[in-house]
Amino acid sequence: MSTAVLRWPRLVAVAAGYELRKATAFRVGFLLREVMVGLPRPVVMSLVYLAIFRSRGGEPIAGYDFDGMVAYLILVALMMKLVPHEWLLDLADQIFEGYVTKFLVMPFPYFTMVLARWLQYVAVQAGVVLVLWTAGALLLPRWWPAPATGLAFAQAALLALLGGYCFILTYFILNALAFWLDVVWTLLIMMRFITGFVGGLLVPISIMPGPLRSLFHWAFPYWTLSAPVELMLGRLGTADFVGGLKVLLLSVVLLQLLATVTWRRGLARHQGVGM
Amino acid sequence: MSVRPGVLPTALRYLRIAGHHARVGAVRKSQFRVEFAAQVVMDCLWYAIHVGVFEILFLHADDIAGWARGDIRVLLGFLFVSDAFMMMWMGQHWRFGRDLKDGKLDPFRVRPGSTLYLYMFQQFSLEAVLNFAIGTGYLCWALHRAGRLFEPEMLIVLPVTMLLACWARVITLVGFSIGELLILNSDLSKTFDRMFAAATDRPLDVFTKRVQLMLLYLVPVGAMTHAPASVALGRTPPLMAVVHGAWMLALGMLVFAAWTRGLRRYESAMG
Repeated sequence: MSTAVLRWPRLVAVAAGYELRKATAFRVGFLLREVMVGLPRPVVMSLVYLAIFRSRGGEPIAGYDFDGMVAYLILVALMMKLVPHEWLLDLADQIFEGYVTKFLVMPFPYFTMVLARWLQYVAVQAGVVLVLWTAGALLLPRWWPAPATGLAFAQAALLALLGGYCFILTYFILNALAFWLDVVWTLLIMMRFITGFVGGLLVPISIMPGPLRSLFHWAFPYWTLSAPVELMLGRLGTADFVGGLKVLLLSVVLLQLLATVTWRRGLARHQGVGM
Repeated sequence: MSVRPGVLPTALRYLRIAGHHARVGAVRKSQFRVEFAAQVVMDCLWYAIHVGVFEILFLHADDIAGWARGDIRVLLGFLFVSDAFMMMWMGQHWRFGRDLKDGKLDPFRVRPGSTLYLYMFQQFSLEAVLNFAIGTGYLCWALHRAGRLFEPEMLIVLPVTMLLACWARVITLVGFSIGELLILNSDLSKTFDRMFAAATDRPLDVFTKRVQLMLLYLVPVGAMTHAPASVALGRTPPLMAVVHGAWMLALGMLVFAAWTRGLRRYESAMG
């Protein structure tokens, strides 16, 4: 095995360490950002669903009773924490300000830093999710959901990880559009809106109308958020997992290809010289 | 001896400043046409997703906490209007924490005017004017479907409630940014904004009475949507609406005073 191949994972680990130091430099902001963000919405949505179930006289919706819906909302909020957010990369700023060039002369591919930032993010968020899940299980055992089986948890974790990689590739591609466009932040925010809806962040896909369900089953956000949660709740099985794995692997291949093409073409026309 | 100008000349002076900001914003956007279109599409997508979520929920229920489909549409209309107002005038608040850290508030502190006004309202967004029109259009459609748009009192109630929704948005954004003045680099402004956003697009009747009062009178995110929608739909008695409006005015003054006081802690001299 060549030394370059051995060196690369080490580089990723070192870069991830630096990213972690940067993220934790301001502790109050770090704690608020990492712990609090994303938590009020499932609480409020639970109350909305409580009102809906009351208006239906407690009758289930597509197999969800109120307890099941709360479990879904808790798990989907925790899962969302593992998904990279739209501001994780600053490639667009580097392109606009012309200093992306300083990374190009370094003796490793630019994508090393993208990967490092994602790994650091997932590592920190996995810790936060673990703490929150444990705290919730201790404080609210009546409501707190546990994975149906160990296998379901493993399947869900794999889908969420692969899906998270699809997200980071998508954000990389959107950031790289800054080689051509003056503004990309709107695209990043649009991506957040769409993925939240398609991923079933507020409304489980299984209670949506049939045509939307069929459409969203082909999209990676569904297999990153809603489907892993339903796997953990025991509503989906191994056959669904295999289907989801196929969609995600195909998405990874296509997005990786698109990311490579966008990056190469963008660099070919880039004229920034900042260091 | 200096003479304090009256209320009217002061108001006219700030309106003139707003006019200059609008002119600069319009010129800037004429140079970034893709950004203009992208921002309009982005906000329309946000509206569509909000509408979509509730339309799906109403496939499974006739009402949510006593709010029928038509009532929720009115509530969402006020959400869109107040959000477009924020995007139109207060886009700079997203950068407040960063600007504090970089010492960029100094140029505003030495200008002859309210630092709060000059800083928060410096960035006019032309595309948000279009979004405001779209939001207002949706609100009028929702009121029409609810059988309220052509009621005679709506001539006064509609503009007043829209004003209330926008005013509540200003108060909450300024209020949230006070946290950032107290703890630098805390991201408190954005964090509070995101945390409380969850309560803006839902009727407050899903909460307990105490939480409702807090979200209406202390952290008035409910005053952006729930309160104006209740007034416009005739769910709130007129006297109660007047009292609420008066309280919002007083709360605004308190929040602005607290912000100005908090700014005294700011010691940067880098700008």
